[in-house]
Amino acid sequence: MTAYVLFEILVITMIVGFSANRVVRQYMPGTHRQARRWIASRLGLKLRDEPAAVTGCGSGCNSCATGCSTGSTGANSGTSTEQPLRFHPRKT
Amino acid sequence: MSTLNIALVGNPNCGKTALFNRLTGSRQKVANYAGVTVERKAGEFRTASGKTVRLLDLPGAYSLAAASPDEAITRDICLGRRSDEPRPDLLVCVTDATNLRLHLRFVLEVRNLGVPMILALNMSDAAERRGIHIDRERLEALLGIPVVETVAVRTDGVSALIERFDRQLPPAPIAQPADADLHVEVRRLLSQTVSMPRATAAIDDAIDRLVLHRVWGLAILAALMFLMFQAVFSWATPLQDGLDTSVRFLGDLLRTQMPDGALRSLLVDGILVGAGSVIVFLPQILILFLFILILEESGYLPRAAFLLDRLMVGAGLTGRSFIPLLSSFACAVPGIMATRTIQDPRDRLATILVAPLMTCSARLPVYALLIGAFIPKQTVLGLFNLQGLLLFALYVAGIVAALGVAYVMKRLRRDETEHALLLELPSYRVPHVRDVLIGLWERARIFLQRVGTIILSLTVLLWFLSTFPSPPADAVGPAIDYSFAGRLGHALEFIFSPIGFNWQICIALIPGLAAREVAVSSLATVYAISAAADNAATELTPLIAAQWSLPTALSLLVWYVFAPQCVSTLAVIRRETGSWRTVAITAGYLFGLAYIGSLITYQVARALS
Repeated sequence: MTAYVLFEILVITMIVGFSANRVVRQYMPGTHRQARRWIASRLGLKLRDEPAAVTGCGSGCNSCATGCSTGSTGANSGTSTEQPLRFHPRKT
Repeated sequence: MSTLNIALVGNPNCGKTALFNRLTGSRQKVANYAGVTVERKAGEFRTASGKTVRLLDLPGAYSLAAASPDEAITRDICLGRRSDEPRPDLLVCVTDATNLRLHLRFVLEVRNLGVPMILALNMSDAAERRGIHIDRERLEALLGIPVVETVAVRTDGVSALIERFDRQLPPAPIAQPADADLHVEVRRLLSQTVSMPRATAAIDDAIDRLVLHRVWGLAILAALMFLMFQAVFSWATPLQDGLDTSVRFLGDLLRTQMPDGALRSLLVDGILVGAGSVIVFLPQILILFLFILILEESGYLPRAAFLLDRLMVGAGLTGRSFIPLLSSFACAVPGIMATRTIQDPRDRLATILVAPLMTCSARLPVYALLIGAFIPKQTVLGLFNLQGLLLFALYVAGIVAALGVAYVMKRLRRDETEHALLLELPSYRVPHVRDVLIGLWERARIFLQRVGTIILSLTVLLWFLSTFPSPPADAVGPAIDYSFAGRLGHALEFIFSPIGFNWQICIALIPGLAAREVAVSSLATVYAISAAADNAATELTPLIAAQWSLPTALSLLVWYVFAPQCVSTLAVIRRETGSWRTVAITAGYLFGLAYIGSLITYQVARALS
């Protein structure tokens, strides 16, 4: 096995792994969170606190480019429960 | 220093979000119709004295007695009913200075809450232009709350408001007796503080006489829609060709510079061909949004809703469904969320169920690919672009299908009552070039971000599944036949062969479930991997034109008119309705329609050809 082939395997593994992680995070956020926790516990790492839903939409469609995640609930109940969109402070 | 919590409240379409954008520097969607904001948005900024302000932009409400889900959000926050949101320290009640007759009633209602508040007379420049004079100081004295003039669309238009934030909180207003007639109070306030030459602008009335005409109005609407879809194909070609050439050049460069192997295949057949095949449709998407943004800004859309109310009611919907359905032309997700403005739960559910049938922008790359491959570039009657005509027909097919499904739902349900449409028609406005350009920039950014993230990721995974495992040494067929994806595609072929889909299409449909455009990148990757000649890889359009029959292409087009190939849409239906059953019904009927529609199309087209 040549060095170039090893390099190919390494780069392909990284790209495919990154893509798989991205897809699971987008479409199976619960599974993704569980997997992260499991890996972190195995490696003895502490996970950084994640903010609650980053946006109000929460569908994860990315059509509004706010980087939302799934999980917030609807507004058809007596008390609405959706989460707000949050922005960084304005740069002055 | 503690943070000051401020909430922007007011009637719909008075410029709350424009004010929010101006104050926080964000770029939330603004448009000239009621119901653009259906969820709360939070932002932060610092005043000149260094005070930190947390600003909430709330959905517009006509009353605190909420009639729709979006109004309930505003009500709950104003009343401090939310456990996750502190009651605001200060309410900024935003009003349209040109329409105080309507907006002051809500101001009085909010004043009765007894929370410190400021009244913002927004669009005060427009009021001045129309000769409306508001005695601000007298209004301030009569209401007992500070009143400031704002122009949210101007850089210096909010300085008076920011300056008020720096001062001490105004005292809480004194609530009126519960039995006070707010309408009488509004009339009293108007008579003492506002002088206006006429209730509506003369130009608005003149335009409305034409665009709301029962015959001419519909003709203008049809012509506008038609022009939009003609432009999508006619104007986009040069830009699209430029992008196409760039992608091909990069592909050729990588092919000549890199040694043959799996990495080159990933970079060229997976990443470049996959993502590149979707990116080339950016000009068409931007042209579509250029029209939508101009229509949104102008104030024409609620007029279109009014025109179509009779047709919508006949089909079991309501004129209020129009704007959520129109939003679905961009993406079904915000469209479904916009149904929060519909008060009646039955009308809301019917709108949610048919929203996925509206042709979202994610379908455009699929349609454009197939139309470009199978429909000749020719002019009909010396004027119309044939490709544009077919695209228009596909959009109409989605609309007709939505109306048909709504009609069937109307026949199936027991409650046959119809709800009258009460809709606010905003003043016409010449769209701001800056707003339109920002809107286009945002759409381009969203599209490219989508291509660069989820579409690219799915394409890379599909490349992996189409490449591995490698074929055995004695393999006779193409390598992709031995891969995971190839085997899956062949296994699914028996389900889809009656509707004319080959195994490559079957493969593309699976990642295409996540997002519709992925079907294009998937097809490009699958054909690139299975192509014998290297130069075939980057040219998907001529490749499918040579390998597919016209009935197959038509069948796939019909499939994409109906099929719910979008997980996000199904997720948002679940979230908005709180019911998996509704999701199952939606997915079931849409897949059923897609299969039956494609079957009929394929078999009829085959019999005729």
